[in-house]
Amino acid sequence: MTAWRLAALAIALLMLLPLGVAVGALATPTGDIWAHLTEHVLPAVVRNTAGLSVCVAIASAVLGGTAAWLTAMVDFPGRRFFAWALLLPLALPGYVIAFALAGVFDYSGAVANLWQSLFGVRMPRLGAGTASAVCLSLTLYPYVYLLVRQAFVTQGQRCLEVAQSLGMDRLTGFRRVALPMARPWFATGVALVVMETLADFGTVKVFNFDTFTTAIYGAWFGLFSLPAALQLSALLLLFVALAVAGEQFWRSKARYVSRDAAARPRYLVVSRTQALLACTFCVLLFAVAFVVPVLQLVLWAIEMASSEITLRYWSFVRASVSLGVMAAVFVTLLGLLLGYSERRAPGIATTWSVRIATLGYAMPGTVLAVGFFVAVSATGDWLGVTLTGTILVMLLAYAARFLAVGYGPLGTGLQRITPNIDDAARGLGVSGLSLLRRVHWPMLRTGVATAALLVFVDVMKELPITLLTRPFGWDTLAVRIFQLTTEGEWQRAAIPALAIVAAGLLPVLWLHRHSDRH
Amino acid sequence: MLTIHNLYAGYGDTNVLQGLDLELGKGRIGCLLGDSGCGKTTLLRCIAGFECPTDGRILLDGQTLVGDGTHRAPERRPVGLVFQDFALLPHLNAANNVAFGLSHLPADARRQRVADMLELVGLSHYADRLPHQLSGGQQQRVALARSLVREPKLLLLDEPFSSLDAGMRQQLGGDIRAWLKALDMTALFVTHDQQEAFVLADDIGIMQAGRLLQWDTAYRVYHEPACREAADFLGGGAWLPGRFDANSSVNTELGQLRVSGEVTFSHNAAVSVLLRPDDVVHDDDAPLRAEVVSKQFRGAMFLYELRLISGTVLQSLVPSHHDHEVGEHIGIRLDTEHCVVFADHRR
Repeated sequence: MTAWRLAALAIALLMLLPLGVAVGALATPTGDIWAHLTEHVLPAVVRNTAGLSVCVAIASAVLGGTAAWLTAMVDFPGRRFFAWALLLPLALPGYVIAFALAGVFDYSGAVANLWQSLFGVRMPRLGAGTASAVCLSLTLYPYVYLLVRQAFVTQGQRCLEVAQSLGMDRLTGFRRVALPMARPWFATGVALVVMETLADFGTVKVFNFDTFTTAIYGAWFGLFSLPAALQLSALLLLFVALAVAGEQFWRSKARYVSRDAAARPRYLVVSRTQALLACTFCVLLFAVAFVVPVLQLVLWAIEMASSEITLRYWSFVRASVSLGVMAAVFVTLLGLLLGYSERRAPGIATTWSVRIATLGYAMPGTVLAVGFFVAVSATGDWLGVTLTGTILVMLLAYAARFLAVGYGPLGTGLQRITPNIDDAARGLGVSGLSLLRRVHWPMLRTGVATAALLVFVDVMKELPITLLTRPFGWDTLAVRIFQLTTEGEWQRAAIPALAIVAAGLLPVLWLHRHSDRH
Repeated sequence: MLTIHNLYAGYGDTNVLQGLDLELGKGRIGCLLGDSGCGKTTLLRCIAGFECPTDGRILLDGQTLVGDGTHRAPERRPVGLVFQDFALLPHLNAANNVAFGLSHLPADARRQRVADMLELVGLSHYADRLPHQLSGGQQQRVALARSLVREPKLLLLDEPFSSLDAGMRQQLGGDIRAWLKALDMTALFVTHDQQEAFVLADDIGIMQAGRLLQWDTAYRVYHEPACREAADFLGGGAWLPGRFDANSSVNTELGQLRVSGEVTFSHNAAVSVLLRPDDVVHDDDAPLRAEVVSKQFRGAMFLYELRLISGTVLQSLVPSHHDHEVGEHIGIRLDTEHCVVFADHRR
């Protein structure tokens, strides 16, 4: 039993390593570099990061909340289709939608030409901050949409009925009952959106908008100062801590009340104008967040297919896939270890170990990369071997970031195997390894497959960890996209981007299958 | 007070309610009793306004709620609804939940009404608690208070005790009845549990497949069922075949039985006589013998199933010190003055 508890504790400590390294680095003097940072970099970076987070949070709440209400509660043409289609933007990483939309609205692009011929003036250009905020909102609103829609599907109709039975009309009922009821889901979704915004590196880099993550990158690869990168990381973690606190607080308040199984879903009947407005909103959101960028990528890809799909392209694919597979196996094993510890050695120590170990999803990839790099290189120095040129740092950072994603389905699967099932099997003479093989594995199989798939796809899309810590020869599709877009070669980035989008669609379809279909 | 006339409702091709009539007097507590899927919840939702009937009328206090081309919105009906799962607002404490539907009142009046209502339901000390800090029974009382405080003309309760444990049901059932009577409130509730219906209701309606089989006082529904289905659903018992005699009596293998009410059949018609378990009495000295087929211990009583020579099986409630074995033959006699009789369609 103690072995299980120790294992959980070890995983938790491992995942805390980058946090400790970053906080510890606050004490390291960095002299001139720190002075330079505080004077020239930090003010803008803090302002940009905070401003971007606030804007993306508000925009995602409005977009996701509206889409959730419309598809969950209102009867309008296309409701069924949009209910799942509005999840598809989850498949597009921010850095992909960013350069695709940048291409669509480019000076020389078709939209700009149309604008000029219609209005006779040049199309105004969005600032880097606004453009980043728009693109991040378009990829991140599904977090709010998914959570809030679930709340409305399960409780929205009931809320309106409660309000009406107490003498309120629908609008008042929405304002006074449905919205307050959905507040925990809204807040949880927005907190996740803020975490992702703070962690974003690729999107802001496309528009050259300076935030903490780009500053950390700059400190490491521009100023070659790891301590400065770590200190910036520690500051960024302060922002992250706020978002995590918000998320944990509100998630505990979000309790699901299961819908009466017999109740048919009912939709509000609205006027034709209102139905048309609802439909228009969904069409526009779906078009801008998914159809237009994907179409742009496809057009570019067709143009570039012959020159881009070469042996080199396949080497990127191979790197992406093999890293994805290794991370998926590694994370699934860690997740199983955690899950079985919780099962075999329950208690406060194990519970907290699991909670801490699965908190890494909140940590920006850049922070994890710097933290693990420093920790691993120190360990290597102490052991007298070089570890930093291997993929060890990457795998550790991936594990920290995606352990929560992988642990979710595994934990759910393990909870289904109740102690009674174990006892029943033992009573029938099945125990030990044969219990694992004949009872646990069949019941856990789906959870394991799901966990592995989610981690695999997330690693395919991942940019900052891979970019910062990859050993020579491990350029992935995401890294390739980054290199091409920083050189402004958007057309050439289309083919790797489409490959990532295709992989990204897998878990979106999975999510849809497991959410409410109505 | 509440009048329902020839009500039809349904969705798609299914008719959930099929021509239902009902009349509930002022200050009375009515109960719709039926298995799930019989349409009782749909009827409740039609009265509340969440469901629109396809035909028929619902009137409250002489005013049309629905029918004849009008359909009053739920929020404009003087009707309160207590939801099955109480539907308390999780972010408001007990007092604010109760005050929620009173926003049209000035603050002082509102506070007074809420305080009075919480006192009535015995929750004055729990006003500041949030719903999850209250027990199931307390939540039920908050939900009830929230509807009652608006002084509706009619209160509807959807399976009011389904989320409470058995002990709580008895206790709270009696309390709720007392509160409703104190306020002279007219109320209608639905349930599938006979005991709940007897604890709470003055009038009971037995629903089956969208129709009301019988709508009557609780006493009469038990003792004078309107049809075989109603008798089978409520109370149980057995059917004894017999032949109708001209003099308002039935000839059976247990002798000649007097028939209650104004039923007439042609002479020598095949009929079935309803014998409730308390109609068949065990008597060691009785000449009539029946074989014990099975027995169920119920504490103070045994419920015996007894087979007559003809093969007909009767049920009998017997004080539990009369402990007989299965297969034994025991003496029985009937303890009924008048019997309920229906035409026997099976022959």
